[in-house]
Amino acid sequence: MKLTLMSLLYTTPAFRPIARQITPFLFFRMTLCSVTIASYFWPHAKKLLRPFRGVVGENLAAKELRVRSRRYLLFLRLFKELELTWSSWEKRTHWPLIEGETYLKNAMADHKGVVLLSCHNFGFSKLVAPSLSRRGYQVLRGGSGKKDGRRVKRWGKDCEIAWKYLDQRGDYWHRLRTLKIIKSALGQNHIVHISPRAYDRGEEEMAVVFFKRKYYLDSRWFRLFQLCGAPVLPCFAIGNSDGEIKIVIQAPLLGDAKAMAKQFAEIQGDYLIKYPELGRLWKSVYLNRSQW
Amino acid sequence: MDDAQIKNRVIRLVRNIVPESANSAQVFVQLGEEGGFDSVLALELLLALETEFGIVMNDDDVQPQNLASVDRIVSFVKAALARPG
Repeated sequence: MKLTLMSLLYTTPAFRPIARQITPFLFFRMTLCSVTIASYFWPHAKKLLRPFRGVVGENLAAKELRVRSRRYLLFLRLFKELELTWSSWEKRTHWPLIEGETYLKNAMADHKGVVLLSCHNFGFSKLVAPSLSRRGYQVLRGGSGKKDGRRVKRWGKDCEIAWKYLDQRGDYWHRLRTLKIIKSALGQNHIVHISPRAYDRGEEEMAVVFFKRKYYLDSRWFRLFQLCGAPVLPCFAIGNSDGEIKIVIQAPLLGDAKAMAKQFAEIQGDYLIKYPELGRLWKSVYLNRSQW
Repeated sequence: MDDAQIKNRVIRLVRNIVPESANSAQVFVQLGEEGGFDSVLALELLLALETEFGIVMNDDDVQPQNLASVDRIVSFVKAALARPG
């Protein structure tokens, strides 16, 4: 992580007592201030915004685009810095707000486990597993990072015990072991949180449509969920410019694997259009614009 | 249970999961994407093997030397059945 004022505040032992006094509200206001200043004077901000404006700009009015651009910079900053604050806010079990927890509780009552499905490279998905574990749920988070590396340790020792990080990378046999671990976690009525990757090519039914662009979900995930028989709930961690972050859990997807994939693709496309500033995919989309 | 019996049961399970293999006179299952078994189908086969033979497969058992072909699966099932407990 680059050295910023916030990282200095949260990682320097002498400043930690001060950092602990900063509430989420104050933290977001401070970050928003620094991002607003940076958007005017920091040359790198323009470079960061170019892909975002290039993709999203065509569809928004100039004033709206300015607001969204600032939110996009805010999101990028928060995405990096929220991990630093996590251990300071451990007593704030109500933060972030979870909307739709009833769906989760109802789904868990069937004792088949629950799959929470998020959009890859979108929103504050990495907050989902630690937030749920703080509320007493057992969570397995799938991702492509180091299983027991620094990224997990930053969330605190208690969180590490309550939720596990699952590395999805590797060869065929590693993937197969991973799927087996997911299956057995669901068998123990745990929550499995996954943000499936999307690809440039795929089946038309799996297409996620956004801003004249498409990418395709991997049907294997949905076949796995069908095989496991666990309810699949879309879950998005979104934030607004006031720094309110909430985890939205939606009603279970219905039907077979293809029907579930189609529903999730539509929901995902809607989120990308409604909250483009929470996407981290614009750079790759922008660089491939010749293929549009 | 002898090798031939285990092999017949394994082949039946494979054919249930990948029906295209039912037409071939002999099933040469090569687990892996190139063998027509993507990771989800392979998981389905693992679960079917556990149910059919009453064995428990640990994460460490999911290795190519145990599961890459029908013959290897037969050897693995035989060893798993012989495990104490």
